[in-house]
This record gives sequence, structure tokens and C-alpha cells, in this order.
Amino acid sequence: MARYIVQRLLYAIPTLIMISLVSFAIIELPPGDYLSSYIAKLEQQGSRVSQSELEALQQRYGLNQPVYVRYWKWISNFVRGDMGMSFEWNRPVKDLVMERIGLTALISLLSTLFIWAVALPIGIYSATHQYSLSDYLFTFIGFLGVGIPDFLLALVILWWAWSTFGVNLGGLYGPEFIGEPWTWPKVMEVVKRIWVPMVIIGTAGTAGMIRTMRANLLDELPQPYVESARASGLSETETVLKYPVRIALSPFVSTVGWMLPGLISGTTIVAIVLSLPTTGPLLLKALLSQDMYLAASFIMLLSILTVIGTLVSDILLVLVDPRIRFDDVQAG
Amino acid sequence: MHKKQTFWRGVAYAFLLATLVAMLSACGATAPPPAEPSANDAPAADEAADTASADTESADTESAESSSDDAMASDTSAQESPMLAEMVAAGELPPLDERLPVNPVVVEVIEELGTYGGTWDMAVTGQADANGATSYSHEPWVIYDDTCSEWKPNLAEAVEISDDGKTFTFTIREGHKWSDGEPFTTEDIMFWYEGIAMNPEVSPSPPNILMAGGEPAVIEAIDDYTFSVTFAEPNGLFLPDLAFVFGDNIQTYPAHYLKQFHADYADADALAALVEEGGFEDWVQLISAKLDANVATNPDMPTLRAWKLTDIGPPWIFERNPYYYKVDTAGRQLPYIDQWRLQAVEDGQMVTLKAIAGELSYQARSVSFTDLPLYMQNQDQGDYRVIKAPTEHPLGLTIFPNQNYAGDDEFMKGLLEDIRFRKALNLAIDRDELNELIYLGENGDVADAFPLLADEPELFAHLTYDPDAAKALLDEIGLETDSNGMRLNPDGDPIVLSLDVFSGQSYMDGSQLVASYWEEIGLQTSLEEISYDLWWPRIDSFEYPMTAYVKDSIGGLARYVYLRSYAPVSSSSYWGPAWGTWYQSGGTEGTEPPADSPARKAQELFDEAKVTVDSARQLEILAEIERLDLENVWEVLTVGTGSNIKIVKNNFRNVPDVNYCVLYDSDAWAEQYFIAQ
Repeated sequence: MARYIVQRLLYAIPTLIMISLVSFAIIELPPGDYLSSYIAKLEQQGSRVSQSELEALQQRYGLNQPVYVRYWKWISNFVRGDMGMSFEWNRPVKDLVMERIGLTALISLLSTLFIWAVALPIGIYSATHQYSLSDYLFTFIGFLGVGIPDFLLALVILWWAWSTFGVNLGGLYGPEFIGEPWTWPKVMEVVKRIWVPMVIIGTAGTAGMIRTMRANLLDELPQPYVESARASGLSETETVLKYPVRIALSPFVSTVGWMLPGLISGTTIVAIVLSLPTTGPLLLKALLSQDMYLAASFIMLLSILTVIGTLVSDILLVLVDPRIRFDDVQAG
Repeated sequence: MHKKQTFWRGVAYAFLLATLVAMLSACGATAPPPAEPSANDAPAADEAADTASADTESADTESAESSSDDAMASDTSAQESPMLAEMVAAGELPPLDERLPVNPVVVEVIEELGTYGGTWDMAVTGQADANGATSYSHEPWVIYDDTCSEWKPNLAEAVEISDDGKTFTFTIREGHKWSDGEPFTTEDIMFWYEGIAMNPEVSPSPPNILMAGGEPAVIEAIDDYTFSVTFAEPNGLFLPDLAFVFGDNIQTYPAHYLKQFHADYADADALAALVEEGGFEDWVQLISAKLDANVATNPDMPTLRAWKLTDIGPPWIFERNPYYYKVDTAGRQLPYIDQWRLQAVEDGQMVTLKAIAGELSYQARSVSFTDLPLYMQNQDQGDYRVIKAPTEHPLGLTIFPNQNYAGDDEFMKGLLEDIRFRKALNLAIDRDELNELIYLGENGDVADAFPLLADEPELFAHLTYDPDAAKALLDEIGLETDSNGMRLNPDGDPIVLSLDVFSGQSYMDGSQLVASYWEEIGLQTSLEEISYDLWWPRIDSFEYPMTAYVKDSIGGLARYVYLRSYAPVSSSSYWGPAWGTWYQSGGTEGTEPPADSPARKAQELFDEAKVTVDSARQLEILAEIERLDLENVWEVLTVGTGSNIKIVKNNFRNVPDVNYCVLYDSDAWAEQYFIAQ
């Protein structure tokens, strides 16, 4: 097992180097650079940039240097933990990401828990009561959840709350709490509001999860081992939960690792609609304004988390599913 | 320990003074009457300043009183904000008369004298938007009147222009201070000139504002408060340039703060440590990062503006500048509002929702006129009013046929260069309908933006709706039609015009409508929306046949500062970008327009305007440039200017219902806005 982990970690190094090259190249691909989008933005606001200012900015940001020089500068600093400066914010990338990562992680975590809390029981119920009225009902609701784009749901909820109660649910707390210290009322305010992104982001995932759980469990239920468990006198609940459910859980476990990159990528569109200061909108804006180091460091961070997340999932699978053994992998 | 003592002493003083005031008012003594509302001339300013210093004592007492008693908070007799009065009482800040310059600027309030305090809430969509929003508290040396033709001193106490128009002598207000209390003198100007503008490491080439006749100006400090700027040639556009929103860089460089980051002034070891600590490559990068003066990123930077950045966001917080140099007509220090706060939202739509929910005090940025019905509908519920301030800039949707089209379609190039074709494109447009459908009928006529040419209606003849005349022109060019009436190119295929559209809903909707008008005269159009980050590279390549955006129309002399859509003088002169680039680069890039061509003529006129000091003559030249623009039908014009929508809470007062000329993107006089209690 330890050998396997070390091996996987070693494989990750060339993968990450490739990713860094590709992501930097992709950011370089569109015509223009940060300055061209900066100029266009100023144009939109009705102002202008003089040639001399442009030259000074180019020099300051090092945009007149060749691509490989900029790549090397960025990646060598990145390895040392320095993610560079954001052009637009004039602040270290690290600070910008750190500022937003807490909330992003919280929302990801809450919506994942929401998905599990809703999807697992419903999935199990649907599988054990296949083709019953309630199974159809849950299936119908589930498909609705998959079918409705989450940002649309966010817009509808925002508008409904505003037109019915006159409350603006956007943001994490109301305007009266901006800049206030984290006191109890402020925490309660956040608790009151955070269910909105939690449910919206969770809805789409819930439906998918219900379907997966139901299908997996249906595969397992007719298996002979279930039959023998029943025969040995276990109650129906115990039978189902202890054996087939455990096996049907595999796909859940293999996606646990994906939560890691999700922690920082956030759900961008919903966050934009609900105006949540998560990392998703930050990345989107960085890409749009070609804020090179911010975007590149961000993508790099995502990639690293994806690689680690996949590894974590694989290890968890071994722990949960007794049928997986490393010896076989290595022998084969 | 020491601090604590000061604090208690302050409290004791405040208590004592409050008691005194209470006793005085019990005896029936009245506060001194406020100074007469005065015109904006120098003697009145003196008078107001005297009043200000004479009243300081009583102001302190009253402020101390009002801070402890809310009932007093809504009076307008306090000479300074209670927040500052407390600090003065506590000994943390010098008294008001020591903070104001000897001769402060007197601002005439728009509605009424305001009360101090409160927070001005605005929403921005991120750092870039916050940077843009800082133009709300912009302090130019001179400021133009609302017709944009006469200037008066603002930051400067006086500006004198020599008879030959080459030397400009500026006087700084004596006793004017930075927001940290350090004096603002010619030392700051010379630091900017020697250390920043003319330092080849920091500025690879001198800033445009200093250039005239191909040479940078010479700046000399005459004494602590007087300096002169001398150009090689007469510079008739120096003052309009300085007054323009983004021409304010000369005065945003506090030498006492910035010298520590500059290799010519700072101790080498200390500087190296600062560079190392900030993770910069060299001192130039360090000082460049600290310099972002009109940008909301450096809270340590002293400023001359009404509010000073204290917290980088989100939210970005600006606190009042205790040394601000303007007073109202009663001699009370401005600004009225204590704090200016920029909340962050992730998207412009959330600004709309926040605005209609009444969460913002005053919002004009990211407020779209297409949401006007929504804003009007929620006025009562959100407790705000909607101000439709007529703007003079920009005109509505404008399509620029590229005279320097660098693509390989020779036929298209020929069409774009044919004035009859450009006229036909103009004549095909139903401007009334377009105004109704795209601009809610709110925009004016194009002709209104050309007041200098008001008595020459023939120049606007092609801006009428006459599809038959348009078809006749296309026939005259010799464009054949197929059985459906579509015009054909020499290969016998229908002509397809390709149009790049600047990203934005109204641009796209308007362009679609225009395309439908053109279809009626037999021309097909293919539209492509260009995201703003790809816009510039596209313009710079000269490879677009036509592009849709807006035409600038800042009025009066200020039109010269933004002449790009009237004459090809900039790389963003969309109808002649190669000519503009040639002009802007001094002949090193782009292409030279043919001698004696109208485009070259317009450039020469601009050259002439630059060295003309007489503003009446400058306006004559401007009229000629505008005439050339219209005669040659360089653009497809649709409608004139519209309104700027401002969402303002009902208790947020003194907001003008017009947009002043040069300050298109900002609001003049934000310092006299106040929040009624």
C-alpha cells in the first residue's frame, strides 16, 4: 500500500509539469494580454491610456518578455510557494485565494452533505420499493432537479424572495452586517442565508446521486448473498444496510476525492448569480481579464487538488470495498 | 499610558465644553449666523475662510455636544464632522483652522447645506470597478464650467498663462495638506517631475501630458507654492487635458511618502529590504505598485481627495480626509459624508437587485438604462428616487466602416471607401424606431451633439430615413440585384457585410435592428459580438471591415481631449485606425493618410488647435474638424445622447440632475452630497 502511494505520488510530478505547461499555454492562446483587456475596460468607462503609460505598464508586468521567460519566472516561484501577484488586484495571488477559500469550502461541504443526506435515503428507498408510486414520484423530482439549470433556479429563488418578502437573498449577509465583526447575530444571519446556495447547488447533484444509488442497489439486491443474509435471520433493514448498500456506495467513495478541487473551484455561475464571494467568480474574472498569474496559479492549484483527490478516492475505495486488492494490480 | 492620559483629558474637555454650551444656550445666546452664501470668487473665499477659523472654537463645542446628543445631529451649524471634532478634542488632530489651507475652495451646494456623517454605500463588481469608481473624488488642477468652455482653478489657487501660451504658472494653496497632515508643496511636484515623469526607469517615455512639439515640458519650482510648466511650443490643450478625469496625475505623488521607495532618494539598504520584503524584482516594480494613485489598492498612500482609502476590499472603505481643502458656503469643512464604502458583488445584475432593494445610497455605475422600468416600479418600496441625468457623451450605437481595412476582400474595401455606400448605409436607418426599440425613446438627435454646426442642417441630411434614396445610391455604385432584391458582388453572390459588435446587450440588439434595415436595401449583415478582452487586439490588427460601438461626444473644448472619433488621431479612431496609429506614433507605425485627403486635413487641424491658445479660435477649428467628419460620412450614426441613470436614496441629497461635461464618468461635487438624518 505504502509503495503504491509513493508510486502514485511520483507519477503525479510529470503530470503536474504537463498541466502547468498546458494551462500556461492556454492562458497565452487568446490574442492580446492583460493590457489589452485593461485598455478595453477603460474605453468602456470612457477613459483612455497614453502610449507612455502603456509602456510603463508593460515593463512593470513584464509583458514584453518572451513567453518562456514568463513561464519560468512563474513556475519557479510557484514551486517555492509564491504564486505571484495579480495584475488587477495588485495583491499576492495567495492572499486573494485564501480570502475566499473558507467560504468556498464551507459551501462545497454543506452542499455535499446535503446531497448525501437527501440522496442516500431516497436512493435506498426507491430501490427497495421499485416501481411503487413513491419511487416514481422521487424519480420525477429527481429528473426535474437534473433538468433545471442551477443558475436558473438561483435566479428564480432570488426573484421570488424579493417579490414575496422584499428580501434580497444575494450575498452572505444583509447590508447591515458589512464590515461588522463576527458576532452571534451575524453568524445567525449567515446560517439563515447559506441554505440557498446549499440547496441550489445540491439539487442537481442530488438527482444524479439518487439515480446512481438506486441503480447500484437494484444490481445488488437480487444477489445470493443478500438472500443468505435474510435466511440467517437478519431483519430486512439490517440486511439491506449492512451488505448491498455498502457495495452500492463505491461510486460515492470514488467521487469523494473530487470534492477537493470542488472546494476551490466552487460553482461559478451560481456564485455569480447569488453574489457569493467564493473562488469561482475570481477565477472567471481572472481568465476574462487575462490576469495571467492569478489564472495560471489558480488552475495549477486546481490540478494539484484533483491529482491528490483522485489518490484519496483510490485509497478510500480499498478501505471500503474488500474486493479491491493492490497485490492483484501489481501482479497484473 | 500617555495615550490614555490624552484620551481622558479629551473626554474632560469635551464634557467641559458641552456644559459651557448648555449654559450659554440657557442664557439665550445664539450661535453666530452662517456666512452669506457667496459666489465662487476669491474675496468671498477669504471671507468664508475667516469665518471658518473664527468659528472653530464654537464649532468644537457644538460638535462635542452633538456627538453626545442625537437630537443635535441634524443641525447644520457644526463646522466640521463630529467624528473629527472628537479627535480634535482628544488632541489627536489639530483644530480645523490649522487643517484648512489659508484660502480654501468654497463650494456652492446644490440643494442645501448638509449635515455631517453617514456612510455612502455603493456596489462594485470587483477591483477593476472599484478602481474606476475612485474617479468620484477626483481633484483636477482646474475645473471647467458646465458648458465645458471656461475653466476656473480648483486644486490650484491660480493658474497664469503666458502670452505666448508656452508657460503655465500654478499656485498651490498655502497651508494645503495631504491627508496625513504633511504640507502639499512644490517639492511634491518636483519629485513627480524629476523622480517619476522624467526618470527613464520608471517612465520609459515622458507622460503625454508633458509633451508638446515633440519635447517634454520643463517644470521649475519658483518657491514652495509656485511652479511653472514651460513647453517648447504653445500648448492650447494643456488645461483641458489637466481637467480631464484621467489627466490628474501631476498632483497624486506625495514626495514625503514615496521617496522611501525611490532609488534616487532612499537609503540603498533600506530600499533593498523593502523590495525583498514585498517580493518585487527591483525598486521600479516596488514604486510602481505603490503609485497606483487613483486606484483603490494602497491604503498607505496619502491623498488630496475628499475620502482616503483605509481598507482594501472587499468592501473597499474610504474615510473622510481630515485635511480636505474645500468648505461649503457657510465655511464648514467638506465632505459631509464620513465614509464611502464600496460593497463587492460578483455581477452587475446583483447591483440592480441591491439598488431596487434600497440597499445602496447612490449608484450610477453598472446601472443599465434597459432596467429603467424595473427601477421606476420599485421606487417606493426601495425608498429611492431615479435621476435621469442627461449626458453629453456618448452618442448612441455608431457603426464605423473601416477606411484602413487590412483584409483581403478588395471589393469590400472599395465599397467601404465609397462615400455613396456609407451614405446609403446611413439613409437606410429608421432612427425613430431604433430609438424607441433600443433606447426606450430616451435618446436625443445626433445633431444636438454638434452645437457648433447648428446652423448647417445640410451636414445632417444623410441622417434621415429614406430607403429609396439609399437604393438609388447603391444602383449608382452599380451593385446588381438578384430576384429577391439582394445586392450582388462581382462574383454574383449576395453581399454580406461583416460587423464586429462591442460586447453588450444594447450594442448587440441595436446592431441586429440595423442589420434588418440594411436587409431592406438589399444588404445582408453577419454580426459577431466581440468580448471586451478581444476587442483591442482586433482593432489593433485593422482587419475588421466594420465595427459597432459608440461615438464620443464630450462637449466644448473637452472634445479635443477625446477627438479620436472625429479625426484619425488615435489607434482607437475606429474608422481610420491605421491613420490614427500613424498620427499617434509620430509616423513610426500605421499608415500616413494621402496628402490633401480629408483625414490628413483633420489631423493638421488638430495640430493647429494644439498650438492655439485662443479658445474662441480653438472652437472654430473644432467646428471645421466636425464638418469634415460629417461631410465625409465617416460613421453610420443612429441616435444622440441619452441619460445616465442614478439610483439615489431619498435621504441622500445634493445630487445634481445633470452630468457635467468633462466629468462624464464621475460626479462633480461628490464632497457636498449628504445623508439627511
